Amino acid sequence: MRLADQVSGALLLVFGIGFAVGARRYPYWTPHGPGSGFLPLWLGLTMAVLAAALLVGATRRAGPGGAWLPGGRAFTRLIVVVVATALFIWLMPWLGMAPGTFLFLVALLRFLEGHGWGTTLGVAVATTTVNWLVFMYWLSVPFPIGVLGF
Amino acid sequence: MDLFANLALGFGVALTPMNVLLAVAGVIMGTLIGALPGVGPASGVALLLPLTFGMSPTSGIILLSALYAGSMYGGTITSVLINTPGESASVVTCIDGYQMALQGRAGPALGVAAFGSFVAGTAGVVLLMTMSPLLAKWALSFGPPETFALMLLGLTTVTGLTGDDALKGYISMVLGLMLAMVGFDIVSGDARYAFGINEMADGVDFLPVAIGLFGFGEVLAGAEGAAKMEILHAKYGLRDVMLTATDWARSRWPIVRGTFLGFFIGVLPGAGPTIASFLSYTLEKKVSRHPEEFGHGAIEGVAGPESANNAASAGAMVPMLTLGIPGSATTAVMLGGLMMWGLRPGPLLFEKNPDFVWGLIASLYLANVLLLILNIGFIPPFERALRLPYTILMALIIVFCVTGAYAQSNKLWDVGQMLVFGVLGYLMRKLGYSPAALVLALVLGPLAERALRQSLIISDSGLMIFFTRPISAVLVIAALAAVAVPLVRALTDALRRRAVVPA
Amino acid sequence: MCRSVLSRLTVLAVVTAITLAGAAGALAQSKYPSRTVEVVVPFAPGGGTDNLMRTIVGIIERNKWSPTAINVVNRAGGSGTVGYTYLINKKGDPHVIAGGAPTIVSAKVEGRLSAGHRDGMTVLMIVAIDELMLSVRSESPFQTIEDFVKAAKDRPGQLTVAGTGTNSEDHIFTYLLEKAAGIKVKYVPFQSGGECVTAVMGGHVDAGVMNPNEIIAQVEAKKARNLAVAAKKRMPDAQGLPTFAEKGYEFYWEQMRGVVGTAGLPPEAVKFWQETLKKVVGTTEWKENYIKRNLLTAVEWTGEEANQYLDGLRGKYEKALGDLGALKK
Repeated sequence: MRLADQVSGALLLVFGIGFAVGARRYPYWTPHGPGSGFLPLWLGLTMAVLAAALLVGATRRAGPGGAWLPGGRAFTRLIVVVVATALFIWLMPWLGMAPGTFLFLVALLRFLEGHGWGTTLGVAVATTTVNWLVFMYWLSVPFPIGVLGF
Repeated sequence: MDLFANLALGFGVALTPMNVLLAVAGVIMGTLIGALPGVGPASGVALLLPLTFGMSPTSGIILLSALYAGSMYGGTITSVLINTPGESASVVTCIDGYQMALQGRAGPALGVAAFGSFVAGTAGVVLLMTMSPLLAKWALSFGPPETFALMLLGLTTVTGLTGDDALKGYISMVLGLMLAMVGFDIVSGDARYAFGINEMADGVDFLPVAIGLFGFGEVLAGAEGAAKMEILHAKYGLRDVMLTATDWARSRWPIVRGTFLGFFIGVLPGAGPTIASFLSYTLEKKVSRHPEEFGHGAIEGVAGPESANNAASAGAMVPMLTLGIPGSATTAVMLGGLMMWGLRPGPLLFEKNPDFVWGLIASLYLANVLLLILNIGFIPPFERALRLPYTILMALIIVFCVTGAYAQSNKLWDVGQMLVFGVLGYLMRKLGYSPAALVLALVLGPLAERALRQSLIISDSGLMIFFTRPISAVLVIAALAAVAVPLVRALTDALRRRAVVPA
Repeated sequence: MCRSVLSRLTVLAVVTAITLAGAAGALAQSKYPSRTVEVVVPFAPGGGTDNLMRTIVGIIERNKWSPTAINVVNRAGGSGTVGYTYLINKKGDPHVIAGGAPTIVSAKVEGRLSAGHRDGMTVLMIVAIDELMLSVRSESPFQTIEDFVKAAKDRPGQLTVAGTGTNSEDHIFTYLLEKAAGIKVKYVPFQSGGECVTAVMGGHVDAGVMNPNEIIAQVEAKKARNLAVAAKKRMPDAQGLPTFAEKGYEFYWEQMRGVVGTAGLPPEAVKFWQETLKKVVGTTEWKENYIKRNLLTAVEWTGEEANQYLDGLRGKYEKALGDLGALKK
């Protein structure tokens, strides 16, 4: 945890200072009291102080502490899930909601989790259909329509 | 007494076969809409509004209010089962509800939510029926200074949400407040930290953040390894859903407190169910004899907030019916409906349209009974859904999160936001920060800032405005005490220790 | 086996989809609308524009005046800019229309929209004018607008006036009143009309800027009173309420409500909407439950007439927002 606290503390410190500097673009005080830059400035500074306390505290603490991010296979799985979801979202305007959902589920179930084709297609088709019926047909949520036209 | 004659009139209207049927349809659709991610009560009501134009006003409002009540119940289900809030008022239920589910106690969690909702919903209607004129006055006495004082008190209770590491809890809260600064500032019109992006100018929306931090973050934590979901070993019979005697004993007072707190918060314009649920949670943790259990599956953490948000939705009807002023987004949509049905919502509604008002009140009683039956019956099948292997469930939850983040605002931007906060939520969890504190600050922050600055524009004497008005003075002093007391205690403890062991 | 059945099904689905798409394309050339129409509301549910569009769509659907379904979609955000930007980007798509608010002019003036009513969209019809007035609660010492102005002159910069938003219609109203009456007040911005009414009724502010429908119920119940309206002549349904101009504070300010389509809308789509909207505003339901209840002034401005009205509005916004310091130099 020590290294993790040092890293997150340092990042938050920079973020806090950046936020406070950014706040100077907005008026700090107006004839009617605090302006739109008042709270952002103080919040940024507060964050910087808290983050500095975390950083110092972690540095003083002895010992390296345990690992905080999983290694090896678990880490790979994590990255795959995040990237797959990001692709799902990013491609949605082009692919459409329904085909996107289908492909996402196939990718995750078949290629990440190693389920058989039967299970994979069953779950993917069922989920996509129910999702489409409920959100697009019943609730008329305007999900992106893809190149396939649905 | 007049009251009973009126109520009899109301039930006469509400209990016609057609209207009972509409109430049943309303609660079922409402429960589904509440459980679906992203589609909250406001959009649910807006969706069905055109459908009611052909009906009589009374039938129309019965359908819509049954739907409203149903969606407040339904939001809980996904919070408990997969840590993904269906709508914003059930975000806080994720914290302990999901932990209960992990311990195989999803049944009692949903059961206490349903029962608490029933008690709160029913008591809320009783209060609405008997005290409306008085309450309306009270609601009006809440100006910007009082609102600010209440939000301040709410923010100080954030200490109740932090985990083991207080420093990281405060950092999480400040982070939430910083995020709340992003976007259009209502007072100056500045788009703060927007970098010229329209969607950023809109601010950081609360629901996608909550879905990301809780729902997607949880999935990522589970995705790491072959997740061990003890929930799979739970039993699913109707009897296993029932609460134990201890559960009842522990939930009783949280339900009562949640009901009153929620109702009075709900009456206030601009506050609403979400804030009520958060305040109830922190209140329960403060008064609990075992606060350390909160966050690890304390049933009080489900019973209180779930009662509070239902009572608040009944409370929001008070300004709508007595003043014609919308207390929340959902009642704003309903008010639009009232006009289309040819009614004039306002102070004279009770006098001019008694059959409408009392029919609505009677149908709310009916809706709450229907919901209790429906929801207890729904628990076993919902629990059974969790029997799916986690490797499949995980993929489905992600689809759920994506769909929900989109459906709330119809913007892909919000889905991206959900993803970013999902990763952040995962990291926060790993590093011991508090996602709940962040979310609370994000909810209360904008309201607090706005009310503060409105107060100071109105005030001729600067900050003194908060102390010269009785309600705000009491609330501000309570907030200051909430900060000062632990500080003083820590200080005296430190002094005493030093006295015993001279350094 | 499973796979072969599936692949056959896939082929079938693809063939069907292509056939259907082709058929739809052929129909589109002859008939409008040929598929579901999306009605964009660039604001959250419950607001004025949301109300307007749900009313219109409700009337169209009940009378079955549209051969296809119509979906109302809230694309709120950025004070309307998210929804209108969506509309502008849908250029040429005849199946997207939107509720028209003054934002289409003011956001263009502020530079928050890339195009305005002439180049970014097709104005189909302006259907109503919503007046703006100054209101107080019944306990207020101000019986008339003169009382209010006098108090404001005695205590310059002390009286508070609530309105919705900053650099908004309500804000500009307050600014125009200050100029016309030679007074100075404190403008307090609120998030919604409902919060504004609460602040006025609770006595937390001295007066509020109101659309008639926001305050009329309170006035009927004798809990509030209107001081004056910023219209050219007295409202037909509130003959007792003076205008600012007749009291010697000459300024006019109002909010328009209308329906707009995408830019480059084909003539058959324009024709369909103008005819349908004409039918809508002719119904008793519209006149009684929408116009009358909200105390609006009904208008039916289309084409060049509507565009010229909006041109005029642009000039007023440029001036007022410039004076308020809302425009970037």
